[in-house]
Amino acid sequence: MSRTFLLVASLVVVTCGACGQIPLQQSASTSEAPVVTWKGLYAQNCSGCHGADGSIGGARPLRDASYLASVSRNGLIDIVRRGQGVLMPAMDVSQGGAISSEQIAQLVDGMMSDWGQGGKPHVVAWAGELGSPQAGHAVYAATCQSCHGLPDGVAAGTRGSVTDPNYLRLVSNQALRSAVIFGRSDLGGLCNGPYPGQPASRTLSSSEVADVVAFLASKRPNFGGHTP
Amino acid sequence: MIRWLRSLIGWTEERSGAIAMVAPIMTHRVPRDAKWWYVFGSATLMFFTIQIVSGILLATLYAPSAAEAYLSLVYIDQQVPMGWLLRALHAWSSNAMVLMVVVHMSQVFLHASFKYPRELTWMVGVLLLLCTLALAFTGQIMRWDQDAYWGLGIGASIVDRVPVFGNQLRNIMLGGPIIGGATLSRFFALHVFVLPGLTIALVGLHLALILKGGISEMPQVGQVVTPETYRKEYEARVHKTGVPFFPDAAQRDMVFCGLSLIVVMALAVWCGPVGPSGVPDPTVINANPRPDAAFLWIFAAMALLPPQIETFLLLASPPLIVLGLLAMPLLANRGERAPTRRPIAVIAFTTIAVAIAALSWLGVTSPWSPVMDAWTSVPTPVNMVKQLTPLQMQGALVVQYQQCRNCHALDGTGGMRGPELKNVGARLSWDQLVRQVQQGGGNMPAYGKTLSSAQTTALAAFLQSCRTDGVGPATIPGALERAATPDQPPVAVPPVSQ
Repeated sequence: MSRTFLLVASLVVVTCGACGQIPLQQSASTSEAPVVTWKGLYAQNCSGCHGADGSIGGARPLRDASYLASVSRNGLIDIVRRGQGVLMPAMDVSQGGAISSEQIAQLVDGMMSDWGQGGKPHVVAWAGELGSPQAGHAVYAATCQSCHGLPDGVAAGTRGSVTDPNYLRLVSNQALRSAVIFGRSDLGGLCNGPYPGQPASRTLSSSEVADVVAFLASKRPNFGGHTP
Repeated sequence: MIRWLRSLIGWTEERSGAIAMVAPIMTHRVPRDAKWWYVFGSATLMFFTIQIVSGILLATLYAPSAAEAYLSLVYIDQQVPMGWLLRALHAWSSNAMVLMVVVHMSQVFLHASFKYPRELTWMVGVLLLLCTLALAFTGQIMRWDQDAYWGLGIGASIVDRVPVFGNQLRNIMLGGPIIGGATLSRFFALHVFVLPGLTIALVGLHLALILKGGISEMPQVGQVVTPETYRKEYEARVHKTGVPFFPDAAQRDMVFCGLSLIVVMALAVWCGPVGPSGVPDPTVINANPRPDAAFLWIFAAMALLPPQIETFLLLASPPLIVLGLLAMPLLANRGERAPTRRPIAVIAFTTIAVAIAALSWLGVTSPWSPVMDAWTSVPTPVNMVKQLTPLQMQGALVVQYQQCRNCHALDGTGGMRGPELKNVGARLSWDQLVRQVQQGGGNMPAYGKTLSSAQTTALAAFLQSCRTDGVGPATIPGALERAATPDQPPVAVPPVSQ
């Protein structure tokens, strides 16, 4: 009886094996499913620096409707593809990154349509040329100094120095411009106003933005002409 | 028909004498009490036989070249009818063989069957254990996937540590200074020719020694092994109460082997083949290589070795363990065999078994391997981002950008290979942070040549801010501490009051 049972059991197991397919979890062809949604791409490639849901992180928040309504699609794609400054890596496979150009376009389109909903473009263009550092010094003293301290001075201000040469060596002029225009409301700091000691309606004009960015850029140590 | 068969057998027997040679072996008398404890050796032999048969079949399909090995496995899995089952059977039978060898040795050790006159049988058994483990390791290399690549890399780096001859030994092992085509060729030769041949020879010797010394009896309290009288006493007992090996003992062997085979077949069918885990490309760092089950405990033990004595233990432990196993029957070849009268042996066995089980468990669940995509996919905790200065914020980005998160956790998220950084600012002073980043230490690489001074400063500024609420930054009493930014002048820390 027991021998018959063993024989039948063996046959059943072998027959199952003969009829069955390769178990999926072990198959080389079914290793890891590719990420297909833009949110999946974001979670895998961007959330480390820009935050889990894009609203707060070490780097600029991307869940910012005003920012997304102001930037150009191609400009954003270019930043993602080729990187920016020192600490935003190039993400395109051709640049040593991990995702394809198509995925980058999918990511940017997804962000702009989902997170950019209802956002109005800022009156100041998100990209532009540098202005006058001298004029920028005056703008800085009037609008930035109360939080970020004296340039070249000992006081770093309540929000920390933005004229620190080490800081400036790590951020690009475009990143500085975006910070001045859109601020970091996620951190409680409002670089785009209202400014302490200034009328509530005071905002920075396009030329003032260009000037203050030029002023900050002038504080950046220039090692061999390299600009982040 | 039967008459014809009998005459054929008779004709063959008259000329070869095969039955006359085998019959005494099959019917030799074994102790009556040699019951289910004694089936593990036979099961090991059965799995070895399965390995040879399935291995020969796999060798007809496998391409032993570095360029094609991985693809040939994918081909066997996906294109060859039942190819995946063949690979699965080979892999699971290999695991079963290692398990059976270990269980068999444990039984022999606990029953002290290695004592006189079976010392040589034990020693050959130890060599068979080494052959089995070597077959398992070289079999893992045959997969030529990420596990194989990194396993080889670790093996080569251990060999490299051998004083004076390290480089030469590594070159012999790999067929050159790096892992390449020659590496697979020589491991293929080892796995398919050298080790199976050696194992077959040792199995033959092992069986011959068993026949010569006889199967040991179940240990009885008070039945002491005395070399001077043991053989005569054993033969008298077996002659009086023993039973023929076939069919009495062989029946149990066959039942156990059959059941083991069903379990292994079921595992092969339901779990499928092992690997290949990923292309063996050293540029693909997003790998989480783990050794096969038999080596998980070694993997864990190596990860836990104190760095100061790591090299010594890596090089000295294996020969010491093997020598200890080989010498054991020479040092204790007489006396009591009953486990109840050998407390030290039982305690030692239990300790080793628990340690290996615990280390294997750690090997499965350990967080020692870096999380290779943490730098882009594990966010900096929100509570650690708020209230940071612009420079510290850039430091938080350096932590991500330089992939520090792959090894270090922030508030419990990220890699666990290195220390958690949540409170590092309270543990290390500014200078200590900079030194650790630039020069590395422990198992951390030096980043001095990778980071610019601005990145280092920003990183140190962020790390110094990593403190629980209300805790000040770590300082060295009496030392002149640099502040995080040039905006703040160095502050002299008052010396500790005596």
